[in-house]
Amino acid sequence: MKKLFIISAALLLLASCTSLKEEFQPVFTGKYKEPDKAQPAQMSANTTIAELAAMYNGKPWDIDKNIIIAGKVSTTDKPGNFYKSLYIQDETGGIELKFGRNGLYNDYLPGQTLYVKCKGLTLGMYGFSSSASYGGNGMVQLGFTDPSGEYETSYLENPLLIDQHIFKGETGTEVASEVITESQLPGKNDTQKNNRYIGKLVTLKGLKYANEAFVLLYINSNWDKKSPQNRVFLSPSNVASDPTAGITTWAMSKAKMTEYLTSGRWDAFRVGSGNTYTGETVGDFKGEGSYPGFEKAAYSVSQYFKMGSKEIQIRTSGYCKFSDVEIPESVLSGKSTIDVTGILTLYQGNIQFTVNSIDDIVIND
Amino acid sequence: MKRITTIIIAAAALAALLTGCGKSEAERVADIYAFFGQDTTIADSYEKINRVCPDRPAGLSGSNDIIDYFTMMASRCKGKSDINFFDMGPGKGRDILLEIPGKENDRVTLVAAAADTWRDSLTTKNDDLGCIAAFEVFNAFKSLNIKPRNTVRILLYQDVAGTHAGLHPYLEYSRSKDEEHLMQLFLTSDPEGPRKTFTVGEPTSIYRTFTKVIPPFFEGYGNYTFDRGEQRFEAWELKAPLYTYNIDRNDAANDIAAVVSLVMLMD
Repeated sequence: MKKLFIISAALLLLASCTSLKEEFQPVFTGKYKEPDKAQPAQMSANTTIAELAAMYNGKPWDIDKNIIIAGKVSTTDKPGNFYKSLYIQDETGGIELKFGRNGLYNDYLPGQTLYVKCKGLTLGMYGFSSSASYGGNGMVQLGFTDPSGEYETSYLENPLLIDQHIFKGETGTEVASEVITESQLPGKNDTQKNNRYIGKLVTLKGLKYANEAFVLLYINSNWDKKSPQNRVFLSPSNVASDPTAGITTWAMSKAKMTEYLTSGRWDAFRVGSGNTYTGETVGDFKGEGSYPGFEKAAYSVSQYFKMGSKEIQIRTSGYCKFSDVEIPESVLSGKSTIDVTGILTLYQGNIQFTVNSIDDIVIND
Repeated sequence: MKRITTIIIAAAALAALLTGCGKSEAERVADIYAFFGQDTTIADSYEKINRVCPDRPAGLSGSNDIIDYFTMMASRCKGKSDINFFDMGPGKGRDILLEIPGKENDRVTLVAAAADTWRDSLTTKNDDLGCIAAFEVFNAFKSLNIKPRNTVRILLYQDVAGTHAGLHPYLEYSRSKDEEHLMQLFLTSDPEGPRKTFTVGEPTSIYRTFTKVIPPFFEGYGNYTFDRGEQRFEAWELKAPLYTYNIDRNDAANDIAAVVSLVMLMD
């Protein structure tokens, strides 16, 4: 009986496969109507990006002049290292447009020209520090006014409002990076006004690992993120004998982060900001096999490299697709150098570099 | 296999067409006004809720019947409802939270109204239509199958005239989710309040762009004005632009259509 049932089932299956095969025949061989093509905006810039950046005078400016800039899109958020923002660049420099949206790569293609009507937007800087020891400029960027007053600009959120300012032009060839040398790198007080590589896609060659990493951990993401009680700097200034905190990846996903924490690897790091420590360590927050509040998020990592005598921080998001990719041992040991292509930025006067994808990092044997 | 794929694509396209995907913002505004113009939901709700929920003074206690009413109404809404409560302890009461998750679910448009001041209460009064309007944002998004880009969240909260205690659990909840609020729209229905006037708590530069873009969508539906208002509601430190609107009980359905339209346009 059982055999008969199996044979019947097999025959039925065979029959259904045959009928499915018939289903596989193509049913439509004609040509679909081509979708209407969006007409590129017919505009022209009246101001360069460097000229616009030069108008920043140390505080946010609600732009009240009829300024139009134009630039090609040089970044993509597809791999996730750029998030809710994109850069455009012209001959004179690059600038970040702060969009509060995901999936920008669908709407703004790499190489596409964007025109920005700046009147009604806000020109501000992110990452300025006046500290005498390490301070310097951040990046001049375009966004809306921040209603909270916390930052100099806020995200462009609403599509209807965005469409009053950002206009899509021709889709051209992708931006080719410019190879620059150590002497062309910006100084800590530069902006696009006096260094035409800031905010642009450039290639740096022969970078050597500096055996240093930086991560800013928060004890509890619900607490004040600026409070020393909520901060842990995984950096050489915290534990001099552990300058990389054992981090051998470009960034740290949530899973990687949890792995490091629960291993106890960071227990000796002190809680506090810079030189202000609370007397507690990461280990003091250890519960029963966990660290409450710590493991809620992925973390960006700055891996430090040297280009000649200049320090370059390659900063990578913990949410990007290649966050947990290991840096090759030959690079970490200093045997191999890297060539890297990405956006050149400043944060508190330090050079930070952000790549579009892991393919932008080339290991030199 | 190709046939199956073709059928799936065709069905999806048909569903999208039928459910209104791909419509322009102006068409959606028209749909919203038609939705509220065709039936008597608002008048029914107003009558029913004021029968179910008696007058009350402002405060934390005693508004559970209001919360229960909207919970029951939400459970009847089309599609899946996401309903939460904040229970503030015995004898104190609850807040209700209705949510339509957005594609970008870490960004929130908050629509709030006070659930504890009712008609001729002792202090702030007449928030019944504010609650109905807030609820109808949820109902209209569900019924018209409007898929928000950002999460749309409805909060009916307590203790509006006291310490705003009903807002604090919400703030903690939101912080724990590491969210950002794009706007907070507070709805009231004070008979002595302004009519047909949205207050827009955006910074000057955004307000200028807003007034160019948004008011034209309301032309033909009523004489609405959009005044610049306070940027923030200091009582509870939610870092988002504050919008307000006072529902006119003589033209509630149109006013609620305007509120729903604004939430849709600002998404």
